[in-house]
Amino acid sequence: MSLMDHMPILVILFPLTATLLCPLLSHFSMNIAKRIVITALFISVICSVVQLAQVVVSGQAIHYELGGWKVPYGIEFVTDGLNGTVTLLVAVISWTTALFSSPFEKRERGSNTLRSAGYYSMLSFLAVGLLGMSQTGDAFNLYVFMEITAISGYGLIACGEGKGPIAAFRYLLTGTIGASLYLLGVGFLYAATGTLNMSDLAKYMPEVSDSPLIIFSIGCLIIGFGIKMALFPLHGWQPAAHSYAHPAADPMIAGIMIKVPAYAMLRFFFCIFKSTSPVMETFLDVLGIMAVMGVLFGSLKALRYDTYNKILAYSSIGQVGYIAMGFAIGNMYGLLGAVLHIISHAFMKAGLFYTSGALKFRYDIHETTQLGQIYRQMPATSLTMTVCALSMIGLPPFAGFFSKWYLALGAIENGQYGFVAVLIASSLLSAIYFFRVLEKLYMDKKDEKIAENAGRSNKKLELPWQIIVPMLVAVAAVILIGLFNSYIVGEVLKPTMTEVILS
Amino acid sequence: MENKKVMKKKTIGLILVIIIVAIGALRVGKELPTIGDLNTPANTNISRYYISNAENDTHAQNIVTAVLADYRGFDTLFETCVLFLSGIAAMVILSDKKKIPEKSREELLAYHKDSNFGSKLMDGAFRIVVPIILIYAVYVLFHGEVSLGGGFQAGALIACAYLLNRIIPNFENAFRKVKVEISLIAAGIGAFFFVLTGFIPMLYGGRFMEFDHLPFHADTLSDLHADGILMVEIGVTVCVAGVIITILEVVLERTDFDD
Amino acid sequence: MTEILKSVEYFLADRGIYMLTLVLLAIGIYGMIACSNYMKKLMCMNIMQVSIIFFFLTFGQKEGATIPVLLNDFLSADAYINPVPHALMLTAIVVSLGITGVGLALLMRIKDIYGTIEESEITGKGGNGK
Repeated sequence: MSLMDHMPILVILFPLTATLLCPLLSHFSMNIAKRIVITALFISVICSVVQLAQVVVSGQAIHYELGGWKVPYGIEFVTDGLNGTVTLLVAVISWTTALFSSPFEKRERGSNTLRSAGYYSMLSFLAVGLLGMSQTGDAFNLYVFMEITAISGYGLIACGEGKGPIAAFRYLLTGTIGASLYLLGVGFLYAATGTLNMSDLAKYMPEVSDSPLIIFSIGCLIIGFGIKMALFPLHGWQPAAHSYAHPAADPMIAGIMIKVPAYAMLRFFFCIFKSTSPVMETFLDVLGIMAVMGVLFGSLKALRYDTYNKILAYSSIGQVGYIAMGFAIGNMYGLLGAVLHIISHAFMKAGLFYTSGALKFRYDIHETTQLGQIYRQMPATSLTMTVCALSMIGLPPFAGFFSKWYLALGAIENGQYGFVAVLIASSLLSAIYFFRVLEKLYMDKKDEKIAENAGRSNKKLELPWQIIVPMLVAVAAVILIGLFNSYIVGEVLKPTMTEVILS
Repeated sequence: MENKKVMKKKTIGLILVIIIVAIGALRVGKELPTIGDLNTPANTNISRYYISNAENDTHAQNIVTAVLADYRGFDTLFETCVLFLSGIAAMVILSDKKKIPEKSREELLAYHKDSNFGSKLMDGAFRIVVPIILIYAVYVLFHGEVSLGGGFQAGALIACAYLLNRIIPNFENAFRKVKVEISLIAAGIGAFFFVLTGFIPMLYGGRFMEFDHLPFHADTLSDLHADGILMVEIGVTVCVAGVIITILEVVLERTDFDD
Repeated sequence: MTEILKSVEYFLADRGIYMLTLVLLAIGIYGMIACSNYMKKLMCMNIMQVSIIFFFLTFGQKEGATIPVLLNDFLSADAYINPVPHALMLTAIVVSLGITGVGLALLMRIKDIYGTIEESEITGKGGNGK
């Protein structure tokens, strides 16, 4: 077997080795440990690009059986177009966030290198968990990866200052309920079919599809994934957790940690349960109601706050509502819109949280009222904020417009004009609060204390390069996804989707 | 303390919840397979293959160990990582809390002069019991394949021996404490050993964790699998022992026992 | 009357454990919502996780079968109970241990910052995290 065949496992193996050896290496030199973690994540980006290229060129999914055991007696990793894109997304954002944390860690290190090693280890474990969750083809393996993601999330949120530990504890309680309900759902599925492999489950589904066990299983899975995705009304942990997390890990937590469970929900509902039609119709309707309420709730609540992180956290609830709306619409365009929104929103939200971290790093700014005229000192940050905010509102040619466009097309095709109305209304509401932030950025008077600090610094660059590069990567991604969305949708996502949903 | 109204509301809520769930569970219970039935899908689909072929494939008589460490060994790798991650998270979360300053020997002697805990009986018993526990841990580790046991249990036993040492204040010949750094590094190395066991077959033409391709000398393929399972269990033991000792030390360093 | 009792007895023998497990799950989740002390919430979380472990293990039972360890020669495939739920639940137990460890560390930190672990007092000090 050549190196090219091992790509699915190499994506996970490099960050895993780096994170297990991070405490050992930090004993000798923290900088070397940091650089090894960042390099390992970069190698995993390259591996996921190669893997995605293999899938697109050959047109077939890659099946990698771990341990050599045939399915369904062993665990396998499956990569198709949908998987490969989500894996690439997770790898890129993990790498840029690890790079972004470097100046923060240097500032906080003090004499306690073990704590810095622990931070980088947890960041890398979060990457491993998300990469594994997006690639696995086994239902119980998904639970283990979900718990890795969750525990590293608890640790990274507890590192934040202020109300971090309380937010982390609340997230711990709610997140464990979600994971346990997911396990209960898998238990019902195992009782009904006797197997744990996802493709095997899909094979057994037509025989058992009218059993009430499947209904209970779908119910438990919706609640379990809903808690992890922060879907309304299961979002209670999310605003505090995203506002008070450690500022360097927040882009990853807010960007991809709530998206990969949404992808897993798509896998379960449309690849495994697809043949149970009347039951799924009802559940998708319920999902649609939750999605609409979430979109409106998130957009309305975000208007109330002046703290930058809180605005972004509440707007995330609305954006996850869009993804759930795409699932509820259920036809080809709806699902394509949902997946494209997963990808584009991850970059947009990560970009906005990078700017929040940069503002905290340089000037310790938390409120939008302190943002006056800061674009003079921080041009790259202002550029990122502007591009990402315009994309979140949904202006062409940025990525945010196209995902909403596909969602609207899907809704019109099904005759669900209510969804279209909700899309337009929420875009207007997000325009209100994002334009308010941009207005404060460009047109407010200068804040005196900030101006004093600005005069005292004599650096040429506004921020260390490790903070600027991730912001520019996010801007580039948002623009490129917008420009090339027809290629992404047509060549990469659509062939997988036509196999995935036959009806 | 909560007032009576809140208590009454909570009791009524609890009774309502139990009634609703009992009715729901009755509804669910009718559909679930009968306990003990031999022909349910859960008992016939893949488990029959595991039971029939575990000894031929993996030379292990304990079928649960064969499933855990060989067929579904990938799950076990990430379960070990979950434990390591929780050790790191506990260390990072508590790293801001101040440590209790260590007492000197005279202070410890004065502190324990009047208490009965730490008497000569405990000291003597401790010295006999701890080596037995450690030998038992090694026995459980190596016998994981042929009878009940395995890596997780052995790691917990080693941590138990360390816990006894820490609780019983035998300050006259004081056993050294294990620093948090050392135990965390040891745990990381244990988990890394597990990853290495999975990585080695990749260099010899197999997939990740395919024990057929391990480069050891063996008579049959199933012997190779037995070797692989043993290496996996050793890695798991070191990691589990390290993590439990880490969490223990991190908490004990910062706790003041008022006695 | 005896027929009703017999049918109840058969029901309990066949499927009663599922009912009890689900009631335990509901008690655990209710306790996490209703208790105001964080330590009690953590203990109810453990109860909830244990109930799910029991639920899985009851799938593996077979009538007249023994533990899945081949002590002597191999009998038929029906003479050993299903090993798969046991292997899966070993993983679930270890995961629950990890989460309890992190939860206890968080509780120590919260006690350090706020001085108390009662939810009503923490909300009073402005720490509800909203």
